[in-house]
Amino acid sequence: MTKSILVVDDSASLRQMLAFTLEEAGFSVIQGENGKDALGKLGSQRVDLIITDLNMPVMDGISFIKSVRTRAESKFTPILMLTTESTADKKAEGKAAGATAWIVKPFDPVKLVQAVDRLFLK
Amino acid sequence: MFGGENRLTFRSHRPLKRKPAPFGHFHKRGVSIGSRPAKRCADLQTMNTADARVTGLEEVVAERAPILPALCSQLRETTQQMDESVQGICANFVGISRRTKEGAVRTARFLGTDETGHSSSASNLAGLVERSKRTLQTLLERAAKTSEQSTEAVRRLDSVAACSNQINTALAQLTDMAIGNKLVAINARIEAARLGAQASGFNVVADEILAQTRLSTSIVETVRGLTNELNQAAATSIAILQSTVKEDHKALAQSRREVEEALEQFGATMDAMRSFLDESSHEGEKLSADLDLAIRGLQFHDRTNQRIEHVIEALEDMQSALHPYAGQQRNGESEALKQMRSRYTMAEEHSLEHGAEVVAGEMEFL
Repeated sequence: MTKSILVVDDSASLRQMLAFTLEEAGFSVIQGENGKDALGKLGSQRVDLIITDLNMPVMDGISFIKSVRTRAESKFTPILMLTTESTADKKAEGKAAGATAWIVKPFDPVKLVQAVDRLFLK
Repeated sequence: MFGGENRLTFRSHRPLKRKPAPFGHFHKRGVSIGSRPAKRCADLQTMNTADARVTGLEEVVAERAPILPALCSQLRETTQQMDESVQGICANFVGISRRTKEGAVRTARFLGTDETGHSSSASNLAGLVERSKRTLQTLLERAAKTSEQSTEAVRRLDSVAACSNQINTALAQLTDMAIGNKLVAINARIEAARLGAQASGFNVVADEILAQTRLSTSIVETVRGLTNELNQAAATSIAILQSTVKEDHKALAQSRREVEEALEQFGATMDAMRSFLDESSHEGEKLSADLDLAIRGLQFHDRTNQRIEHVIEALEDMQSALHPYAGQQRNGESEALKQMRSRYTMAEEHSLEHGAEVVAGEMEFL
């Protein structure tokens, strides 16, 4: 069964590049343009993994992750933060909110797919 | 107003229109503006307020001015990153285009077609197909010839059998002759017996005839035996050859069908590959057109960089203009600069300021 990934980022071009990379690797991709939009998509579709940015309008990544972790169906869904932030404080904040892993942008398509595979195996 | 050579000079917004009144003078309209010392006091107050404001402005300039070089550095770094990224993307595009074209050329060479689609070399696939075709046809022709030779052999063996039959017919005649001779010999004996001693020669003749008859009969039997063996051998050979010829015909027909099918498939495959090559060539042209548009689009960075450069120049001008009014060098970093840096979110912003290396793209488990 094809695994589905929810990609959340306020940059349309970045979502496009992520979708292209992940679909080429055989995954099905759902897109959200901010945390609030993504929560709406999460409620109506099955999602096996979430990739989210941190700094977004309307609802940022940290708030989004906290909301995701309150839902029974996504309590244990792997969440990968893909962001320009790299400070230890932000990573600690992400971990406390419930993020599983962290990648600093720009992403490498090959490494991203390897990271996703590792998260699915975990 | 501030003192020192480079400090601002305070001016009233209204020039004085008349000489200050002597001590104790009152305004002619009867409105008291107070005594001269009070006015001087008011002027002094206004000047002090203005002085305080300018001092505050100086503080602000001193506080904020150090941000300008940091801003210029960030902007320069941004333009450099954009330029490097666009260079990389263009190189990738050029690589894609080149590899696509080279792939098409290699495929064409492999198929053995030139740009017009015709076969161009004997050492490529088209040449190989042609040689295979000729080889198969030659093999079929040789097999057909072998089959014909077998048929010819059967015909010749048939003629041997016919000769053998003729020999048997001749032998039968000889046998009849031998029987006839026997009868002559018997008649001769009978005459000899009738004529008595005067006809003893008849007995000799009869004996000799009988002996010759026996001999010829024996020879006939021998020859008949040989011709029978020959017939059997010929019949066996004919049977074998006929069976072989029949199987050969069947196999030859089968081989011919298979060869024709294979050649048809070869031809169809070659046509499909030529068609694929044509399609690839068209796709390659479209790709080139797309790449041209992309390269045109990527040139946005050049215009953007120029605008950023103009902003940098304006900021540097501002920095130069404000520098004389920035006051004494402060100890430590300004609060405004600290506040600006606190807004940094990206690894590149931090690395520019602190020179720290950031590894992007690698996953870290939290």
